[in-house]
Amino acid sequence: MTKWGMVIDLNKCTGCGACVNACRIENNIPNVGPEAAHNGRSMDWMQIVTEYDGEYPDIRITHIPLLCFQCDNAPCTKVCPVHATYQNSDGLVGQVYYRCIGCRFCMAACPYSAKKFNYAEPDVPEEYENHLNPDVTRRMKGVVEKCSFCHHRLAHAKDLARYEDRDLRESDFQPACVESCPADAMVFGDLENPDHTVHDLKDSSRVFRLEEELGTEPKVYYLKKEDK
Amino acid sequence: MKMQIWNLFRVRGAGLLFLVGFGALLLMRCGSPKEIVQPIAYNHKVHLTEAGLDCRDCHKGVENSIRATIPSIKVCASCHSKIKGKSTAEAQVVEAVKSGTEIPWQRIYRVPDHVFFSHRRHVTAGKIACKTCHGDVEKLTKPASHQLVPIAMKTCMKCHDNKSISNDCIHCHV
Ligand code: HEC
Ligand code: HEC
Ligand code: HEC
Ligand code: HEC
Ligand code: HEC
Repeated sequence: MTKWGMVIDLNKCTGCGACVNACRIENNIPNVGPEAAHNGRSMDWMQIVTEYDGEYPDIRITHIPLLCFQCDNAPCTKVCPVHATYQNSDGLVGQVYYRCIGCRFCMAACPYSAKKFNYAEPDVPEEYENHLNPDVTRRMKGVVEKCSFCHHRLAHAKDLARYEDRDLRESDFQPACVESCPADAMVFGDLENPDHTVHDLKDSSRVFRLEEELGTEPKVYYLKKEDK
Repeated sequence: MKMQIWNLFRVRGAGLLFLVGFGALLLMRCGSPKEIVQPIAYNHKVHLTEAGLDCRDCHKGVENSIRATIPSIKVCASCHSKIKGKSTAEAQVVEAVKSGTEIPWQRIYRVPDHVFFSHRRHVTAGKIACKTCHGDVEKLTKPASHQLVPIAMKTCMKCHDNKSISNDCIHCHV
């Protein structure tokens, strides 16, 4: 069984924001403008929160990239009344926008605020139309969306691997955020496949997951920041 | 008494109005979709018989890529540099070849942008004939004005069910 997952090393993350921007471009995420963003209506599927420990100058800063954790025991999928969000067999939490009725139960259920609601029709300036990623559909007003681990890339990767008559390799399927990280802080792969880096990395002594006590079983693991 | 008859009529009228409205709605849903008219009366049959071509000679991507692709004017140029027959359609093609302008073909088959579909996966890996999804293209003497086999999620899923291929929503919906 495949189980896609990610490990993020907080020792390496510099909070540069490359992943957030790569995600925006890859997934045609609309820019809502400063006012809407201020009102909590930003559509970004990724976010970086910064934790401050101590007081200047004795301060320690930790940047934590947040995205959909594709929980194994995802609360969002349990409350969806129309099967628009569900757990698939590869461990991904699917979100079918055309099926979504915009009730936002899933948003309320997600303890990580990973889901975003389209309050407005996505506004793309005409000159950007040709810069949109054709592999990712644009979401319309009134539906909930979220990070998909770039599963459109998986569809293409599987298609190519099948055409070349071989198994999927670790390098075939990497989300845009992981690919863009200049510090190599993010590692992605099949948690159940011993050949993939994440398989051993998730058993590191530094590993933790957010709000683990809720029993959501997130598939995004963090490696704790340590003093060197 | 007079009042009552009026009322009856009013109710009947409403019923009639409802029926007409409902009928119109039904017609709108079942009525043939908008006809697609191609700029040139292209003839599939003649090319597959007389010219001895294969689907893959023109729809070059069909075995090795996601999209089948519609041939560019360069493909037509190898045979239509001068007029051989008598049809006006052919004359139009020769003219386009001479001036090097692309023919603005209208797309007939198209999945919505939220659906991932790959030709090579179905044609090369799945070994499914064009006919299953596109009908008797070989017999077309003029361009199809609509999808001979309509694209529908139901059709995709039915075949997947029969062949034990996954019907996981996000395999198709991106
Ligand atoms: C000589 C080149 C040529 C050959 C050979 C050919 N086609 Fe075409 N095909 C075209 C052109 C040009 C069009 C666009 C005009 C039209 O729709 O008729 C087209 C259109 C189509 C379309 C409609 C595509 C769309 O969505 O607009 C289908 C389906 C199709 N062809 C299937 C086939 C199949 C199946 C074969 C083999 C049995 C085949 N073609 C052989 C040139 C060719
Ligand atoms: C391998 C050679 C070949 C190629 C390539 C080819 N054709 Fe033809 N085409 C023929 C032959 C042979 C005929 C039938 C004799 C004639 O009318 O000239 C024909 C006839 C036609 C006709 C007249 C059809 C009719 O009903 O009489 C049209 C229109 C046409 N071709 C369009 C195209 C277009 C458009 C392309 C490029 C997508 C193309 N052909 C590519 C060989 C070819
Ligand atoms: C399993 C069903 C299926 C089979 C088999 C299939 N097609 Fe298609 N075809 C489609 C669908 C669905 C589309 C719309 C694709 C899109 O919008 O991207 C399409 C689109 C097309 C188009 C329009 C242009 C394009 O690039 O998408 C052509 C031409 C075409 N097919 C030709 C063929 C030929 C030739 C074959 C056989 C060698 C074939 N198809 C086999 C389902 C099929
Ligand atoms: C006539 C049968 C048939 C039809 C119709 C059909 N498919 Fe398929 N599909 C297959 C087969 C067979 C495979 C597996 C091919 C292989 O890899 O051997 C497949 C595989 C796929 C896959 C890859 C699944 C995976 O597990 O990765 C996708 C995505 C897909 N089809 C989408 C579609 C869509 C979208 C349509 C409708 C527009 C469609 N198919 C219509 C037979 C069909
Ligand atoms: C084998 C491929 C395939 C699978 C699996 C699939 N779909 Fe679809 N779906 C399609 C295609 C192709 C269309 C567009 C054609 C149509 O509307 O019938 C579509 C259309 C839709 C639409 C209508 C969108 C609109 O434009 O109105 C909804 C809603 C939808 N799918 C939901 C789902 C859900 C939920 C699942 C999982 C249970 C699912 N689909 C699984 C291929 C698929």
